[in-house]
Amino acid sequence: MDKTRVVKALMLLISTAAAAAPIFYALNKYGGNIQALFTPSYIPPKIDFRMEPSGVRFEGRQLLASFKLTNLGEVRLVFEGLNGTAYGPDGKAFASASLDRAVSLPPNSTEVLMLKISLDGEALKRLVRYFEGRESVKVEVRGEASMLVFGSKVKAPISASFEIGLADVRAIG
Amino acid sequence: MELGIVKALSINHRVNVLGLASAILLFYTALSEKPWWKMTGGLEGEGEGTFSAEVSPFNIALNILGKPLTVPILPYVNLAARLSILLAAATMLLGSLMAKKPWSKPLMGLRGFILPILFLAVLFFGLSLAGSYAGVRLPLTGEFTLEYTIPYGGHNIAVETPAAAALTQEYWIALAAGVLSALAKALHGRIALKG
Repeated sequence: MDKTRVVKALMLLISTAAAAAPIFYALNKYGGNIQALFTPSYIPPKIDFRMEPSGVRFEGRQLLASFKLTNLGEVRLVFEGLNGTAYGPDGKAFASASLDRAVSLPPNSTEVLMLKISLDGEALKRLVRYFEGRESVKVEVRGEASMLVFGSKVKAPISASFEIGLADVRAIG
Repeated sequence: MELGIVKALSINHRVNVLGLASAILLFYTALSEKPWWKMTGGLEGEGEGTFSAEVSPFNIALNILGKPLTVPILPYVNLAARLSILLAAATMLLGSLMAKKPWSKPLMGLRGFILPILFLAVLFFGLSLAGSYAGVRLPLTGEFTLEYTIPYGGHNIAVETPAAAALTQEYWIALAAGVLSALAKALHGRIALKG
C-alpha cells in the first residue's frame, strides 16, 4: 500500500478529529442545545447612588447646597461637573447651578457633594420674594452632570431639590 | 544557485530547516496564552477601564465594566484551534526531520499559514457585527473615541469612551510561523525531488 496515501488519510482523520472533538464534546455537554452554546452571558455591575440634602449656607452671592451622596453600586463614580439651573417653587428658573468641586465616590462610601448656585441681584430679589408668606422655600436644581465611570466620560440628566429656611436668608442680611 | 539554496536549507536534502523553524514557532504560538489582538476602552489610570478584549484563536477574554462576558462555545472553539495548531506543529516537525521520505510531504500542512489570515478576517467580521449592533465604529487597529447614548428612565445618557486597538507581537510571530510553514512546504517539494 502506498505510504503517502496512508499518511494523507491519517492526517485528514487526525486533523478532523482535533478540530471537531471539542465542538462535539461541547454539544454533548449542553445536551445539543445550540442556542445555549451561543448565548452570551453577562451580569453588569450595579450602578446606583442616593443623594440627600444635608444643609444650605450662603457665601457672599453664592448659595451652597450640600448633599450627602452615597454610592450604593459596585463601581467608583467621580462627579466632575454640573451644568444646571435652579428653579423656584413657581417652576421658573432663577439662577445657574454648578458643582463646587469634583467628588470621587468609591463603592459603598458616602461623600459630601456641594452645589453652587450663583445669585445675581435679580436672582436674590426673586429668592427673597419666594419667602413671602412662607417659612421655607423648595428649590430644585436640574441639569446635566458630568461623571467619570470606569474611565468613560458620562453625561447624565440630574435633578436634586432642597429647602431653604427663612433663617438662612436672614443670615445674609 | 537554486539547488544550492535548497541544499543549504535542507542540510544536504536531509532536514527541512524552514519546517523546523516553523514547527518551533507554531509550538510557541499554540502554547502561548498571550493575545494576538487587544482592545481597551476607558481613560488610563482609572483602574480596570470601561471594557477590554484580549483575543487569540486559543483564548478570548472579554470584560465590560469590570465584569466578564462569556459565550459558552468559545472555550471549545479555542481548544479546537489549539489542538489543530499543535497537530500542525507536530506533523511539521516530523515531516521536516523525515524530509527524505516521500511520505513526509502530506505532513507539511498549511494550517499555520491559514490561521493568522483567517483570524484577521473573522476579527474584522466580528468587529463589524459588534459595531453595527452597538451603533459604533470599531476599527481593527488605532486609537479612537466611542460615542454612544444609553436610554435610561426616559432620558438619554451620553457616554464618551476613548479606546485603542492593536495587533500584538504574538500575532506577528504567528504570521511569521505561518509564512515559514508555507515556504517549508514549497521547499519540501524540492527536497523530495532532489533527495
